[in-house]
Order: sequence, then structure tokens, then C-alpha cells
Amino acid sequence: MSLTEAIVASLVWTLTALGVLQIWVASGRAHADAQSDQQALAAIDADLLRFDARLQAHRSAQQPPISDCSAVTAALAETLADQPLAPLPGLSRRLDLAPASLWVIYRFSQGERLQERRRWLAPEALGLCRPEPTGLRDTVQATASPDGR
Amino acid sequence: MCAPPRRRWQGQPLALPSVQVLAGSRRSGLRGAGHASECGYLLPLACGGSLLLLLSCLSLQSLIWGRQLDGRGAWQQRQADDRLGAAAQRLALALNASHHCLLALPSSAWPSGVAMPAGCPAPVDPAPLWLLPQPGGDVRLVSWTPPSMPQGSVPVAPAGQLTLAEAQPRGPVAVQRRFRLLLAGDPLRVNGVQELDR
Repeated sequence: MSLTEAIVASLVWTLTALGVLQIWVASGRAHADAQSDQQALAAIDADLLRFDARLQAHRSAQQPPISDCSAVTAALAETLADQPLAPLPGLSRRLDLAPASLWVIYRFSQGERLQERRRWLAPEALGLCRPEPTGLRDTVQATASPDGR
Repeated sequence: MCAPPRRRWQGQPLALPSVQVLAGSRRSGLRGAGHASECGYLLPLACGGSLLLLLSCLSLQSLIWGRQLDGRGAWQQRQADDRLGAAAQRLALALNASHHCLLALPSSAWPSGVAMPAGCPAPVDPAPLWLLPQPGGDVRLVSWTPPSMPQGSVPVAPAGQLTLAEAQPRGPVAVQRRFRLLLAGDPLRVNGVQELDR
């Protein structure tokens, strides 16, 4: 074993160790991100499931369905606003009320990354209200979300 | 890298070609032995260890990338589900109102132009129902099958089946979902939307 060999070996080892350390750090960060992603999805699913259960209860309690869909939408929004969302860092829920529909928007931000889910609820389609027939309304329009997306 | 071994056989006269060959082989053999004794274990050890470490690290990295991709795929899947759910409700609203005449007809029998089935008050174009614009990506109507109601009989809980799919899939396969549209009332109206694939 010569001095040159020792120097070259230590150089190889040091460079590898530095590279591996960087990969480990990046992997750790990616792993944490992937886990938070999964947690956020699970939290949103749980929130929506709880809300669906409430909707079903609401639906079976309302016989016959009321005709004022706006009032039902407002009541739904109130119910959902009272429902606690899992306290996950970066996860938020927003409700956007339209006259006869409701957008439930979940946002999950992780550093620069922003993930979003948008659930649209129309009480009439879900059988929670039944508006008085006022001729043929044109309902074929895009369910444009409030921020135009 | 390693220091060259001392050439013990260098000075020896080697006249015969056969001996030269023999000497060559012996020389090289001795050089190998000298090499082993001169070259230490540190460099092969460092190279081998580095290679092992890099390989294990890369396999870990690929595993995590796979998980990340799975996570993103799960988000995209849920977003597609949300779009399809919204489109199903929108279609239900249309079938309750402006396109009510189409409720009792399977989508395969929907008129392609403006002509509507007899008994409908106004000509309605079913074309907007085939492609439903949604924020984040349009949704395509695959099929609508109303409940089969033999003449004179009305099922207790009639329900039709609706199949929707992504019009511009983000993944390799378009997400497709089936929904049950609950019907009630006289005349029949959509009174609930349930996803069947969940």
C-alpha cells in the first residue's frame, strides 16, 4: 500500500460519501413529501365521507324534499363549515357558494407544490331539494369553479 | 496506481525462444505476485464499498420515486373522480330540466341532430350532453341507460345507469366511472346520484 493509493482511496470514498449523502437527503425529503401527500388524501377522503354520511341523513330526514335549493345549499355549506378538518399542515378547505350549488375546494400545499381537489355539489341532483318546475331551464353550462378554473 | 514490482528477472539472458516464452510467463506470474504484494487492499476496498453504497442508495431512491409517482397518481385519480362526479350531477340537472325528454331514452337512441322524440315540447340538441366541460378537464358521456320499464309498470325504485369517462386523460388510461341515477316522481326526475364503482 502506497501513499498514492491511500490518497486516491480516500478521495473515492469521500466523493462517494458526499454523493450518497445528497441522495439520502433528497430521498428523505421525497419520502416525507410522499407520506404527507398520502395523509392529506386520506384526510380529505375522510372529510368527504363524513360529509356524505351527513348528506344521506339529511336526505332521508327531508321528506318531501323542499323546493328552495338555495336554502338547502346554504344549509349544506353551514354543515360542512362546522365539520372539523384533520389538522394537517398545509391542508385547507374552502367553500364557495353558488345560488344552487356548492364548491368544496381542498388545497394542500407543500413547499412550492400545490395540490387541489374540487368537489361540486348540486343539492337538486342529489335529491336534497326539488325546485318548482318553471319551464325548461337551460342547465347545460360548465360548472365553472369560482376562480375560473 | 500501485507501484510497479521490482523486476527480478530483467537482467537474465534468455536465448531460446521456448525459454523466452517460459520466462515471459514466469515473469508475468511473478509480476502478478509482486503486484499483489505492492498494491494494497485500500483502493479495491474503497471502490467496492463505494459501488455497493451507490447501488443501495440508488435502489432506495428508485423505491421512493415509485412511491412519489404513486402518490401523484392517487391525487390525479381523485381529481378525475371529482370531475366525473360533478359531471354526473350536471348531467342529472340537465336531464331534469332542459333535456328532460332524453331521460327515458338510452343514449344510443338519442337523436344526433336537433330532432327530438315525439311528445317533446321543443327541439333540444343532445350534443352538449356528450361532452361536459369541467374545470380541469372535460368529461365524455359514454352511455346512459334508463331503467327498463315495461309498459304500464313502474319500478319501485327506478334507477338508470350512467357511464362517464375523462375526455382528455392525464394518465395512460382514461378514468371511467359508473353512476346510478335514482329516479322518482311523476313525471320521473333524477332524485339522486350514486357512484357505483366505489
